[in-house]
Amino acid sequence: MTQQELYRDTFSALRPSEARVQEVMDMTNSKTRRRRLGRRTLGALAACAALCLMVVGANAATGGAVMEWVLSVVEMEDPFRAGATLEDGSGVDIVLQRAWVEDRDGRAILVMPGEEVDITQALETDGVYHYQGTAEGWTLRAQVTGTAEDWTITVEAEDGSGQQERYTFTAHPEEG
Amino acid sequence: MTDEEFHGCVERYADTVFRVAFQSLRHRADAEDVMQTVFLRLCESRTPFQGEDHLRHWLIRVAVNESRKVLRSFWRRRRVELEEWQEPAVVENTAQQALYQAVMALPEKYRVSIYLHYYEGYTVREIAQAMGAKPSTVQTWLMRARDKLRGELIPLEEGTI
Repeated sequence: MTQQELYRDTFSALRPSEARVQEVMDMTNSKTRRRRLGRRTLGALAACAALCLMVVGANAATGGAVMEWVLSVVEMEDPFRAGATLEDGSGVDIVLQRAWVEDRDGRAILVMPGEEVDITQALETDGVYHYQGTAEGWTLRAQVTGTAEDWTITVEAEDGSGQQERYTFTAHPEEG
Repeated sequence: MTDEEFHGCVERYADTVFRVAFQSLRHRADAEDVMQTVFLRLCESRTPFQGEDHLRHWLIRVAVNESRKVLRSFWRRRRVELEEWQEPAVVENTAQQALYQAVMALPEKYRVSIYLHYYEGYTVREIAQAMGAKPSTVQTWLMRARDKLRGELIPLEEGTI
């Protein structure tokens, strides 16, 4: 067997899951600009009953020093918040930035948990976009202001039982 | 394009689009997302395709471009990597494992160009069109990829390009 044949044999086994292919087939049922997204945008921690990961960060509590934390037993409390356990057994809440705006070929795309929306027109015309949708059993309402590069998103998540959570995410043009 | 025609395209090219995206992203879920994006673009496209080759080239070019968008995305730059890019289902023996590991360790442009050449049978000119690069640049990528693989494997045959 030549190496080229070996290459083809090796990579011919690399195939998408049947479930995802079926999702693609089913797209003909809906061709709106609001589309359901796959596992990538469910976030790194969503739908995981137990997970171990390392988070690197710095904040006021560390005096600005970079620290590393190993987290385990991560459970999603809402689409943007996860409860995790540190190595010493103490609990910690993590806020996941699962809402943001991307500039794609000049279009401003709002990315929310499980969905994307082209909000270019709204931002250009009104300077604001109001979003409403659902994700993981929660109703999400968001207000987006700014531009594709410099934006602020305020999200309210409600679970139907009256529990509400509010988050603000923002991004500014990278300097330099 | 009718629903039947679309479904036929998906059946014929889902594997190809997924593999192109996986070569770029080395992440199954991301590659499947790109696959979905590419076929959504096909759904929405009004491009009149002049034959099967034209359609295939279009799908691969869109897969390359959409994969690059993912690589540049806000989320991917900031997320925590949770899993290695090993694909146990792909590897059946040590030779395949060695080749898979060596190829996946190559830089992204080399991986994609190697895949398009040795798997899809693309010429250098076709790879250049798909990746938005000059043919001379693609030649360099292929040469450097072979050089990097040469240390661990029997060199891939250069073939006809």
